[in-house]
Amino acid sequence: MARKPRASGELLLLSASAVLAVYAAGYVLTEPGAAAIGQAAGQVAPASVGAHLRDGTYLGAGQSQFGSVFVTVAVEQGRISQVWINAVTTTFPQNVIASLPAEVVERQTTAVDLVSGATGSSTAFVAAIRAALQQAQG
Amino acid sequence: MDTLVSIDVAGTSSEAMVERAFGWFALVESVSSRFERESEVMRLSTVVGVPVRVSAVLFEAVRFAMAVARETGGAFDPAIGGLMEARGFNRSYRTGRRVTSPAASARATFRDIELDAANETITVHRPLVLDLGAVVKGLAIDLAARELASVRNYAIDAGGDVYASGCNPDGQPWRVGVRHPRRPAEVCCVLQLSDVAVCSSGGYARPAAGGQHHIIDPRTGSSPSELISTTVVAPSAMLADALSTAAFVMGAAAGIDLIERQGADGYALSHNLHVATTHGFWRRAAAPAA
Repeated sequence: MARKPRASGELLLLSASAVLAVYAAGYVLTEPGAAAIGQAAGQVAPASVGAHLRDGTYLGAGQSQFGSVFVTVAVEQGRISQVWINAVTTTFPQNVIASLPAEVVERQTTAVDLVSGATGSSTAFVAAIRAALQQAQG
Repeated sequence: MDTLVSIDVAGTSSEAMVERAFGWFALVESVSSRFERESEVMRLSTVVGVPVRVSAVLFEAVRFAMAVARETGGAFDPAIGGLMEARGFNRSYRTGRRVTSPAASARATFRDIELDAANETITVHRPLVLDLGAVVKGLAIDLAARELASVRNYAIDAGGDVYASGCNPDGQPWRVGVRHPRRPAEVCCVLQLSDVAVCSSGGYARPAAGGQHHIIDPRTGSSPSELISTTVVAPSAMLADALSTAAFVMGAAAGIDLIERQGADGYALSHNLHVATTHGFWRRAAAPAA
């Protein structure tokens, strides 16, 4: 069933470039979904970050008994340049941990101050950061 | 997305590769869900007048949605989330929880959103809720498809939005039925697809009172009533997803014209069961509708 090639519209090109741009951002999905959450739980001890982070954008998921936190960590020139909280499914609202991404960037470490009254959320946040940084170090 | 995703691989693939393909759906949903107050897109809704640096997934989804909005003169509009909330479409189908954004304007349009491609920032100029529902499922499918590119023969089905690559296990193009909107047990037609996506939109999926449903014309605030379903076949799932929603809002004539202009194929079924298609649509069908 031969078809004559047709001129594609502008939107098709844009949709293709969107996929390329997302891949170029360097998301690493080595342990997606439930696997990542399972692995990250139990590895929540704060730790300093080594100097050997690869540049890229990394997704991390962390879990505590109160729910999950999803983060994106951007590494530029070996340093944590941005931290986003993508989603929080804990029973606590996100604003109780809203200060933590800036702390991670400032201190370049996951040793954030646990937040009083929201230990579950901050524990899950730290686990999510660690899961993301493990990929940056791997 | 609150959608069941299945990936059917004809041939050999690594489990890790398929896991990564599924991972894109979790990632895209965590970024873009209008039903999670703390998702990146919902936090963006609360910051007005200030450029916000966003992740690549969110930026690309919004950039594409904005281009479709411009192309359709606002018949498709990602700023429609506040209006959707006001219409009661704010309950997560997964958790049952409602999300409301009291400050968000139901009158916001895509013209209130500014993108800065160089810095990957988004600025919203009035309180609004972005609804990326008509692009992100397609984007996740396209991202998963690229993950599986080396497999060649596979199909990804995310709640009826399908990307079919290569051949089915019988060595034939994948056969995808288009559900009949009035008779759920029947199909309108069966498509034979290879290396393309197919997405459908219709008011039948989530009906509401008074003939209203979950697709709203952003320009009027009402559910469009001419069509009962649209189906688009395109090389990209994000394109097929957005075009089927836009065409549903625009109606048969303008909708089919839009699909044709973008180099895709489409099918529109009206309330009186009149069928309109692009010139190339039936070449993709195994058998025309009875």
